[in-house]
Amino acid sequence: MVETKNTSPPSVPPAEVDEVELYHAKSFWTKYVFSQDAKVIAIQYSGVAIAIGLVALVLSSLIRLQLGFPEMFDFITPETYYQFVTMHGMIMVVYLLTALFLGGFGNYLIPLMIGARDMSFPYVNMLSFWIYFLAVLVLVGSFFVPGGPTGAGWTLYPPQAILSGTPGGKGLGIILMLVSLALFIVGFTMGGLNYVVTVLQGRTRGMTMMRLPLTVWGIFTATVLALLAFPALLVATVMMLFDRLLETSFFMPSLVEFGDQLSYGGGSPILFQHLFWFFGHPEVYIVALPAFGIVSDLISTHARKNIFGYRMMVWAIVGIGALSFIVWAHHMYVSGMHPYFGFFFATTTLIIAVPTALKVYNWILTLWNGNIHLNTPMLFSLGFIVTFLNGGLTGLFLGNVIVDIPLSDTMFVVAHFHMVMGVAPILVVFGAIYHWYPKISGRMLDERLGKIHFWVTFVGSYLIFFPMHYIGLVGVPRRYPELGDAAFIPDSVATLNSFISLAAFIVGIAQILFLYNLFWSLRKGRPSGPNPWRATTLEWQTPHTPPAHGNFGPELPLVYRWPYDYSVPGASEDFLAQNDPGPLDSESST
Amino acid sequence: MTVVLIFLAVVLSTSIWWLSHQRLGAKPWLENGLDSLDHGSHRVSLPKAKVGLLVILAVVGMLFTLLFSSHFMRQEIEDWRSIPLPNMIWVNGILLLAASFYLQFALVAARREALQVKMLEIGAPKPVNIRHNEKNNNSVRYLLTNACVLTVAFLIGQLITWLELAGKGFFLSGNPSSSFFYVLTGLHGLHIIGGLAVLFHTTALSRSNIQLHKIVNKIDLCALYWHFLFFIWCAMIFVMLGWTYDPFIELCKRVIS
Repeated sequence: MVETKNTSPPSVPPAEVDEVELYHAKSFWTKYVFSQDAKVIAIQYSGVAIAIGLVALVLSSLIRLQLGFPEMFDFITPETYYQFVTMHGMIMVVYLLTALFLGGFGNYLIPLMIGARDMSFPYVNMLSFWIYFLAVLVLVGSFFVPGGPTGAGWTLYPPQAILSGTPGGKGLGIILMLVSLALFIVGFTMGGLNYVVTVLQGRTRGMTMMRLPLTVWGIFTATVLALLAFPALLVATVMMLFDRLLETSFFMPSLVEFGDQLSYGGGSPILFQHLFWFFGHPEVYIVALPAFGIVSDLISTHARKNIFGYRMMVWAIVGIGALSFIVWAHHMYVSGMHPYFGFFFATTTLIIAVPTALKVYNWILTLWNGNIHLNTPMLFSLGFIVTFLNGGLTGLFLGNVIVDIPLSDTMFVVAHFHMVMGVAPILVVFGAIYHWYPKISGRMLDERLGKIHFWVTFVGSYLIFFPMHYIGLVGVPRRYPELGDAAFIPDSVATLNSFISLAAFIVGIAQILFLYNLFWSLRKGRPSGPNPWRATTLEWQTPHTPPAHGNFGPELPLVYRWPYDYSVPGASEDFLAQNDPGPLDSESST
Repeated sequence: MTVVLIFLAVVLSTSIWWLSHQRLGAKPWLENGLDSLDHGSHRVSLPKAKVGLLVILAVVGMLFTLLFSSHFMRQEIEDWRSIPLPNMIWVNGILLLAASFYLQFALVAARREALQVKMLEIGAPKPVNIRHNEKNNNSVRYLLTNACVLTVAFLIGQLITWLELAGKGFFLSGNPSSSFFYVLTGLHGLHIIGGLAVLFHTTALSRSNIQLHKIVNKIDLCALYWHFLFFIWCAMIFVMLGWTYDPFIELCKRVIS
């Protein structure tokens, strides 16, 4: 047992903390490449996720080139357009957001925030990253095989996904996509196991569940969701691989392709949809819950005010997590389901809006009368709240069967989900990077560049996605590379599409500012000191910045309070860190 | 998806039951100090490897339940013809059950050993009913080795069922029922192989000079995993035999609709 000495309140016995046998890396390879340190793994995860995310960003620009200026670019055929759309969606949802929030922020923040030296199973954690990396390599590989990557749409619906009419359907594209997903899931499960067990077993003395920062609550609950939801995608991928390679008929009905009767028969494409969305809907919350948690901490810290309704926030996170498993079929209203099922899923969908709205109210009430510092993390957080609210409101439209049916498969849906799980979480990612970069690197990001980055990204995103709602309401379908001369589509749609594309290019290019800021500040940024935001949580109280191997020096911190003690009356500063026993004369310690 | 939802309800209610013991109603902003919140909300009182295994079991359980659900949904389509399950599966079942039992016995023996070591440490008098140390060590080794052998025999048995089915003309493709048979048993086999790697390691440790009480936890994990995989195997056979389908599911359907 490692005994943690404590000096301040004499009544407290020494804490018993589980013995941690830290793995000490000896060579460059084991220290920086095959590292078992969660912080290094976090940076590896983030680096790979951002790199592949940039590929998806370029793909989205190519999509916009085609939509904004159809027939101008010869290299974009309908086939390549479908490939761009598919890979853009899949990369953004799975390989960027999931990996970045859980693999990146989860790995970096969980051990530091709960007062642990590392993850519970560091070796498994390392394997998790390398399998993820392999999954990304396989995914990238599919761009270079004959026939190119799959163009089946990110939902990979059968039967079209594995037929010759779809790009990559008969080639290697779809196979590599499925293999890559399966690898991703295996890798993620290894990581997820770590995040859950570390939160359950690795907390330092005094860090009860109700003293966890909301960031940890968000990541923890999202990981539980992911562990239970990803198996559905794994089952679907494995069965589809069998359908594609060995001609089983799990999902494939009997069909005729170019006059040839295929050997498939009896399979159920709806079965795939159920499996896919049983994963797909929790996936929305796998991305959203960490964002909720992070944004709560950012707002509280930068408004110098305790989070409003901490308990409600925790209950809402858990409630949203549980509810997210019984709403999946609202993605399938047009699949011909029984009307009563539609009614059931519409009801659960609207119920999930209650805890979500509760969180929004609590953020706003946290800001109310706060000492709001309008720095970059705060701006991104505010941007998130507004954007998430916007996306949530259009979600109310789409959650209702009767409104969803005419809007289904239109650009309105595209605008909705980009607002709610594209732009909103990405704003949080940026906010979180501006917030924690000083801890990771020891230097501040440039504030002026950060603000320019924020305003271009935020306003630009609205210029992209707000008009898209109107295009969708007119009835413009999604997934069409060209609109042609349809009578119901007015000419203004084409103008609007060009405008959206221009806005998209500007937002895309503005991200170079961010990357430049990241690299420039690494060497030239203003030194941040250990706790530049005067934040309360444990990661800011480490003896070294960036935190050394083992995080906390010889003794693990003891936790005396919840993570939101800002502007405490009677305290010498305007915050009390979680490991601060507080003014000695206070009546606090029991 | 009913089966999935039932399984999910079990997992989620267990989690929420655990959470409800974490004083979710506490007002952390009022309760400062090291201990005020600490009562009754300690970490789970299990070794972290075991918590890890329980998490894995939940994930594996989810995986198989999803396949069972898919099986039920696919079964409702007209082209479904159930295949006759080879009789060999019953032999395999007994082999896996026996391995599971052997592991449980090994666990009991190893725990007894661990208790004995602890008692020696605190200087308690040696209880009469505890068997001799060396003998105990030998029996754990013997039991673990038997579990390994039986599990390998189970895997070979599963291969024989595959060959038997293939001999009758039921291949992976062609009949959805046989597709599910191969996928389910294959996936189950893969999980067994994964567990075997750990079991082999544990057995090798028990045959080396290591003191038994140091590997009790490992044996515990193996035993739990084997019981779980035996349970999954039973559920699998249950689903594939279609016992749950005809009378019971029909009844449930009538009740629901």
